[in-house]
Amino acid sequence: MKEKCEQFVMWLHDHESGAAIEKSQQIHLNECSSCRELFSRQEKLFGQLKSSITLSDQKRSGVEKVLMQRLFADNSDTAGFFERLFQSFAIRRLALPTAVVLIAVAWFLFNNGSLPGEIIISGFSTIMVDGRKIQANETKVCLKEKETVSLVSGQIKLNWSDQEMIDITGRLEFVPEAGSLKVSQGRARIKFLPSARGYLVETSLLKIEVVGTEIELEVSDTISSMSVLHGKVRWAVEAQGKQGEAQAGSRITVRNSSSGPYIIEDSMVTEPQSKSSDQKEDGILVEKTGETWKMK
Amino acid sequence: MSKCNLDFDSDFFDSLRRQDEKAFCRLFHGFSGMVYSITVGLLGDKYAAEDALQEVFVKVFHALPRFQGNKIAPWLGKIAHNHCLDCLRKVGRTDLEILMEPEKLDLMMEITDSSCELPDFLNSLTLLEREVVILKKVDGLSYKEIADITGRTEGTLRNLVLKVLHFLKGEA
Repeated sequence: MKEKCEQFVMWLHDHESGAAIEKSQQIHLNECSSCRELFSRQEKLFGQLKSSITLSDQKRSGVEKVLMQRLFADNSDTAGFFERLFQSFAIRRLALPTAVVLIAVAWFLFNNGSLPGEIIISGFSTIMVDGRKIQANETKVCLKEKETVSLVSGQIKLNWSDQEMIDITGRLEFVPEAGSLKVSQGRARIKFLPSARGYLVETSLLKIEVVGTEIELEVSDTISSMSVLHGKVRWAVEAQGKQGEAQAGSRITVRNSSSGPYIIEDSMVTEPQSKSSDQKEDGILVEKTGETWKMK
Repeated sequence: MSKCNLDFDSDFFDSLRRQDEKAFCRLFHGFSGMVYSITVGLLGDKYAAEDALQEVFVKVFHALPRFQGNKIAPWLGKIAHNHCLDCLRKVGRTDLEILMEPEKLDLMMEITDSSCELPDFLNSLTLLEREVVILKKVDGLSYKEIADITGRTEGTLRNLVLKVLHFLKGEA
């Protein structure tokens, strides 16, 4: 019997969960309660695993849509442009030097004449850069080091030369640096691409390290409030030596008072675009005091 | 059946190498599930895994002209595996930490059964054990394919899965 048990374990070891059982193994399974128990435990456990990490059709089509836009919308335009351009040249041998010149020009235009390592802003927005008002309608604005940017309206994307990217929508005054955003005031939704993981967002009261993808920030002289919409962030209030992690659906607010800053941890439940499944009923707000949660 | 045995002909691979949109779409539909299970298994967080899924397929798209042979699953899996390790290194995790103290798997959203032992079980595994269990038991890849993805020998991988089965049997 022991030999058959070993054979059964080896069979399990070679097959994925849910595979059809061979006849000889089925006979053994009918006879051996220990192997039956192992089989049932394996099927239950890996069945749960399969259902919990399966990509839903909705998520798959969402990712597919964005992916196809990223890869093919740009490619087809560019390909069409080059095709038309090359067709206008009668002499094919001019193609290679022309391509080299075009790539150099495109690189120059893309960088706005900037050097690698500089930060580039693009998007449909009105921004103020060190007092200069700029209407950035998909034109790229190259920032000098430590320039203060005020996003007055619209949406901007921050690109670094190594393609790390941050999307900001709303009104926000900040200084972007390679690795951190120093925010002085405003209210905006900030989306970090995966490559921005580990970035720091600093306000006068709160320091936030990006682990997940999207946060909403409200900053003034006396308050810094951060709501996590997707993913999670690590936060720290250096003045109090306190730190923690905030998941999607939660909010950290730091208020300045005469006795120093104090922290409120909220559950943010009214966010309409949050992907978090932790959402509760609209309009209800719960607040954490010490270790207990209570309705506001 | 291994994912490598999906019915793809040589024309399909030629179209892929030309970065044909339809072929790429078919590739995404065929393998996004496998790539997602690797990213969620390694990163632990579903939102990060979805982002990683997109980034992996962008990398795959750009690497397609260099793809040789017809074993697409291990090739995709390797790109996903390396991308996730890069993400973990980027947040300051050392290779030893990544292997021995993997990111906790956040699966609680889908699990309603309070007696469910899945999170404890998964979080008791090392990163390699978790990845191998997912690729073998969920995605049904062969040990040879998993060896290509993880860079470990088939023998090591077989021992790992046996260890997990003995653990389930209560013999660990």
